[in-house]
Amino acid sequence: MQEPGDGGYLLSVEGLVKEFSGGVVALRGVTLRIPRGSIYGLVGPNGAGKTTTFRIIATLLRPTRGRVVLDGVDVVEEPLEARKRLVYVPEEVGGYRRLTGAEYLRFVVETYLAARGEAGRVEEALREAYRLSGLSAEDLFRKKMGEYSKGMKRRVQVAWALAVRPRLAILDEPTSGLDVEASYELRRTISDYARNHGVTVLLSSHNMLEVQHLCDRIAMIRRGRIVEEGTPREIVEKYSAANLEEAYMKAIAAAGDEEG
Amino acid sequence: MSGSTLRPLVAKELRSLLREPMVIAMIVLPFVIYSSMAPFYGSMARQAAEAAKLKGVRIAFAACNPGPAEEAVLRLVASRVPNATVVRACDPLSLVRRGYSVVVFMNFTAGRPRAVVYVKGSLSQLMKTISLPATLSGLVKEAGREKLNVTTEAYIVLNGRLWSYRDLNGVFNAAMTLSYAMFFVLFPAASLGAALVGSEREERTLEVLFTLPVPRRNIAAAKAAAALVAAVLAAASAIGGLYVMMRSMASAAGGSLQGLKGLNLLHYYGAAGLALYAAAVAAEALMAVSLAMLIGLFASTMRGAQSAAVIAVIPALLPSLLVLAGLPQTPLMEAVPYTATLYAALSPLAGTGPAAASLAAQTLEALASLALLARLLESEVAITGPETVKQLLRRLRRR
Repeated sequence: MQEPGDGGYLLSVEGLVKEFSGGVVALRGVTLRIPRGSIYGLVGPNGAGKTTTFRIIATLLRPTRGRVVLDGVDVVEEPLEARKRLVYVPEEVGGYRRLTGAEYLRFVVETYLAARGEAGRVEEALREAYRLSGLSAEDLFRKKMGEYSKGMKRRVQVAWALAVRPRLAILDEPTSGLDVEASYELRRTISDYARNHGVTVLLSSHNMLEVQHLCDRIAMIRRGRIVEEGTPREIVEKYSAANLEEAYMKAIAAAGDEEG
Repeated sequence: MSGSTLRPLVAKELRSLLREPMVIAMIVLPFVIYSSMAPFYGSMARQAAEAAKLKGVRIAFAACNPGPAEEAVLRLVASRVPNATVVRACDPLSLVRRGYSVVVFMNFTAGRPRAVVYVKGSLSQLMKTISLPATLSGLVKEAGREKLNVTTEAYIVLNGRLWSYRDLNGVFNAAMTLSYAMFFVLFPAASLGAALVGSEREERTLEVLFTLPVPRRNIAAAKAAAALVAAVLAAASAIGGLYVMMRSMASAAGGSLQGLKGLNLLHYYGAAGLALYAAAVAAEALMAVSLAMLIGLFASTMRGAQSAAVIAVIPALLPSLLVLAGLPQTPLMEAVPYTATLYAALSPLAGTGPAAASLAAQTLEALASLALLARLLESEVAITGPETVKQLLRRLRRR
């Protein structure tokens, strides 16, 4: 998995600062290194800067300062090249209400793979996406996405994000708003597929149990700064906590104390 | 229902309506549009009034070597028209060249007087030009009503060419029809373009779309192309419907399609002129759709984007109004956005040179709009558009 010269990291985020017009500072020097083939979790309270970090990596926003290198490509300098290597599924999942799930999947899969010069793999990836979505043929081919539940839309989005086998899949709170069963199924899909096909996943979540079971490494972010980083086990041990949730609470509180 | 329960219900409905930007636009825009038309229609009415009163019109009544009886008729008719001079001349057009705005040339065939009205026309006073022949013909007929049966016909010298009144009127009507007909394409194109952008945000698909590995200018071009195709279909549907309506009217009246015959586009424009017009419509529609998409980026809903898109098309009203008020005679006018269809529509009168120049300028402006849109799509404003507007409004409120 490791490639020469990149230290084994697929994604390297260095000193990311983001200040929006109006003076709101969302990121204050975020640094992350995400190993190839890993599932990496970014956790933190609402407004901590998770989505802004994801959006910068996904080329949707430009950083005020700092650098993001994905698979050897500077995402600010070469956004199009970076997009060939990543897929981003935002927290607020959507879908074209007048297209069926199958039509939507064909649009995104075909566009993505054609741009990457892999048009020959479209049909195979589509079959994979249909399977990964877990939707019935009736739901996929007959129902318009306007009739889909939030969970169905999310499964369709995650399905194509994995089926095209990007270098990096960025999933912003992939199980948010899903019931227990749907969350479990989606987690299993992400974990199995990513690990079997070498897709690196960067995800965010508020569910510490989910993060503990799914992620190889995690980073905790608070007020635009990374306050803790490591494997779930390392972090739990560092804070002498019973579980990741308790460690998270302690880490966030400690960061708050440091800031005074 | 009692008044006490009705009041909060009505208040809630009104509040919901008045907090919707589209409704506010619906209320405010008609006043803005109609009141901004006032100077143009005022100028048009002033020209018609000046033509009726022959204000500022230098008139010559002329005849070629008239006998005493004929000269008496000439003087009788001229005496009924204010500011008229009697001139002996055999070439009425030379009098026009000498500075007369109107020459009424009388000739007498078998003792029956015939008046031919020559008007020196002007594109900057087209309404006056169109109105003068009717005024003069009316005055001449009225003057000779008691003793003579004067027949009249009218010609207009415009842009170095001699037009029969009927032809000029036909071209004018065709030009006005064509300069309004482009709205059949412009409005749906802008509305659909804005809807295609606004719906991405509303359906929460924008971020996925913008992280697909395709240049965003391709996304803009694809949306523009789709909007234009749908707009052309909508225009074809509207024109087809109007044709059926006119055909039905003509059939019910027991006649043929006189209305359409009067609008003989191929006769006035030729295939090349109509192709020039079609290209002008395409260039203006491309600009309208690009600007509408650009504006749509700052709206958070599809309806909001569509309402805002009207802003992209409203300026297109201006050229048609300028024809009524009088087209300014400056080459800079040809570079004004949305004048390409107007100059193409006026090409039989103003020539194909200005139409081609205006088309070239419009094409460049449309491409510049598309490039601006592509540039904006590549920037983070494409993502933060509505938030940017909210911040701007917040700052304005604070001030």
